[in-house]
Amino acid sequence: MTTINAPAELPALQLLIDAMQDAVAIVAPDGTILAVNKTWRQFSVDNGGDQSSHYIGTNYFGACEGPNGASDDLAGSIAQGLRDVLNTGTDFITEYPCHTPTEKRWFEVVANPFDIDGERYALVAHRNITTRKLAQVEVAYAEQNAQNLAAIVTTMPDAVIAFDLDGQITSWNPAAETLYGYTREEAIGQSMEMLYPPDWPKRITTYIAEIIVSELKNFDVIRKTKWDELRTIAVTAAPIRSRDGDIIGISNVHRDVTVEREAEQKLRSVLDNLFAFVGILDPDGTLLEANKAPLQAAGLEAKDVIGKKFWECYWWTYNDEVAHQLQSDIARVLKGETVRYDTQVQVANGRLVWIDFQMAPMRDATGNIVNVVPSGIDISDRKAAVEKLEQSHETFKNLVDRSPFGVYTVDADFRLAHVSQGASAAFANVNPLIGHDFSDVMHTLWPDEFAEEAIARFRHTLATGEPYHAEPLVEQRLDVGEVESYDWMIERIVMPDGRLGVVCNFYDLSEREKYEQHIRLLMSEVNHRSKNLLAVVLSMARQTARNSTPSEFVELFSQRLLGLSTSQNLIVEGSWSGVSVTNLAEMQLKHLGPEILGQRIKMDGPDITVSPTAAEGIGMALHELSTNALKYGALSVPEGGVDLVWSIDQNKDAFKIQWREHDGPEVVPPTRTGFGRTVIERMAANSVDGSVDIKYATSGLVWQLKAPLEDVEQARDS
Amino acid sequence: MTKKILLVEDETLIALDIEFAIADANCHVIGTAQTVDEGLSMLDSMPCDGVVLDANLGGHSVQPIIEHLQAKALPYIVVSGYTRDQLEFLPEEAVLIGKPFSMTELVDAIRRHLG
Repeated sequence: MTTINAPAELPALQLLIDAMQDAVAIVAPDGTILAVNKTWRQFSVDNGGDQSSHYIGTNYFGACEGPNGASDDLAGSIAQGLRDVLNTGTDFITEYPCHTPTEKRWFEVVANPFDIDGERYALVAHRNITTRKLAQVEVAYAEQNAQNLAAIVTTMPDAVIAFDLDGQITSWNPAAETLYGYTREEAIGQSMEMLYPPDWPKRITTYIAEIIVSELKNFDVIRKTKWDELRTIAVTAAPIRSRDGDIIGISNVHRDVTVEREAEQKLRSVLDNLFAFVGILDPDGTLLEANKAPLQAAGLEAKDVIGKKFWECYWWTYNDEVAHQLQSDIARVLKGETVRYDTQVQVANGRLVWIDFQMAPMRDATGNIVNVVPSGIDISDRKAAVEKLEQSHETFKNLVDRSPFGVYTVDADFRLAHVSQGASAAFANVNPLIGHDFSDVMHTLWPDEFAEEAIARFRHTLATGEPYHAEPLVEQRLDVGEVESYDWMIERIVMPDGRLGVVCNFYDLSEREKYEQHIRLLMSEVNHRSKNLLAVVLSMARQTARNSTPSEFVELFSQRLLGLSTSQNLIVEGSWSGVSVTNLAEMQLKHLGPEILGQRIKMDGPDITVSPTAAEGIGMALHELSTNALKYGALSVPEGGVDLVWSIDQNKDAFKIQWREHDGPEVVPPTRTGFGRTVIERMAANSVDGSVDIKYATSGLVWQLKAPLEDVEQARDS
Repeated sequence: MTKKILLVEDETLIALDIEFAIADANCHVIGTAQTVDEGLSMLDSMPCDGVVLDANLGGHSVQPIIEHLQAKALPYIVVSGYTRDQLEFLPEEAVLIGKPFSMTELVDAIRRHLG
């Protein structure tokens, strides 16, 4: 151990160094550490150094160079530096790292010589310079970064432009020059507004303000190049901050998207002009995008629907069920299905329009479903056409159903497909009707032989398309046992399902035959009646001939024939159901002329209707009575007259008609029974099953017919 | 001996005509019936040698009278506007005179079949 020659000033120096922040030691000319300050001691404690002496009395060189020192080049250089300070009186300063396992530290060691009593001592101070050192590293990095950034900016394909808060350009990269045509020199210091098209509505200061409050980060603008070309520019903007965090400018990245936007615009205009609906939904059903057509159709703006749940949008609000359907459909689409069906959407004024609606999944590159794409096409025209077709089909169906012809169809599977109302009577015993096997149907209705033949005909027509018109069929029905007659024909047709079928038209001749039978009966009845009438006429002619001279015959017979004809006319006019007595009397007496009829004949009686037979008998009697009165009776003299009265008695069961002549010439009862007498007596009485009373009173002839009312009124068909 | 003939005819004028024909054939009309019931009751109450009858009386067929005559084997002549095929009930051997008839034809028939 070396003897320490501590200078007398050491205590004062000790006080001085204790006040210093750095770790300081005073080193004797031989390198012995004479004193250390508080910082040194503390550092020594903190770092596990010598706790007893804190290196006081040890040789600094030994500490540096000895086996326990910092055994590296740095320690050697520090020892050498300290020697130089002590030997030559120069200052020494150097830095060294002194890292702990947990902390990076850098120190600066400074050795300064000072003389006391001709001896040279050194003041060695260790100063922690970690903070300064780190700042230097940071600056170095920052510089490197800045260089890198500058290189990136320079080589970036996008225009990078910076400008200050006044809008004056401060930075302009080569891509900006390419985009806008201005060189860096031309651009720097200019206002950003030099790039604005004429009449651009927004000032640069407004942009800056919006960018600063971050309302604007990405936006599209139109900008003008040096050559006055307008370009669509997608701008990405951010504020530039100083190291202190103050905003000092704005950075812009400009990308020319003119071509892309034009393409997008074209696509959108195509979509917008389509009368089709196309949209994009989030997986949760939120409408993200929609083209113009559905908006315009419904009188909506984008903001009315974008961001809403798709099923809550106006188009669907006409019906809750539709909304539920859409939700479940979207769930299906998210599982990968595509749904498609016809539905209605609500357009302006609540009108509903039919659309062909589809929802399909949209997948990303990895195949995950990221969106739902609903689309629809207006098919109201098609729907209307279909409805019209259905209506016309309905009309034809009605026509067929109400046709007197029977119409039915047999489908490709040989089953009854449709049976008109006119045909259903013929199939009354087939149950069920529609879908019934046609072979079975035929065997139900007809005997085997005819059934087999008909089935073969149907199969042939179905297979070949050859129509077949059958000979009128007369056959006994198996089910009802009656002989029926049909006229039928078959043709091949295309059925509604697009397959072939056979249509059969048939006409029930049995009905027609029944009708013809009826006509034949009527004809024979008419024939009988006319023969009967001719027989009556012939009899009348014979009777007239028996009681008249040939010269009188024609006149008498003609008058009687006219009388008979008059009654027949009234009978036919009354459709054989009855004749009014008033009419009958007027018509039968018409031949007397209006003067006699109006003044000399009094008619009175209720307006009752008598049977055709009664009309015939009474009519002929009135004819005979009137012609006789004109020839021989009351009407043969100017003052004579006739009262014709008829009545129904109080019990309403007897009819009476009376012909009473008055003021005529003297009455002479006839000596023989002529035709006239037969008519007024027998014929009249027989026609009503009544009785006739004739009185040849001097005042004039009185003829009276009495009969039960029911025999007068009831038609006695002959 | 003059044959007694029953006439069944509801048309008065024709009945009158037939009465003359019967008289011309030297027969005698014992009665004229106008209905089926009347005819049947007259047949029961008045013995006769033959009948001239219409086929249809007031819409009613004279079939019951024909059956009665067939049963009693009485000769008869049918006078009708109907043809034979329209009168199904008429036996084939029955004599049918169509209306309108000629007097000669009817008188001949009465003479031959009833006289």
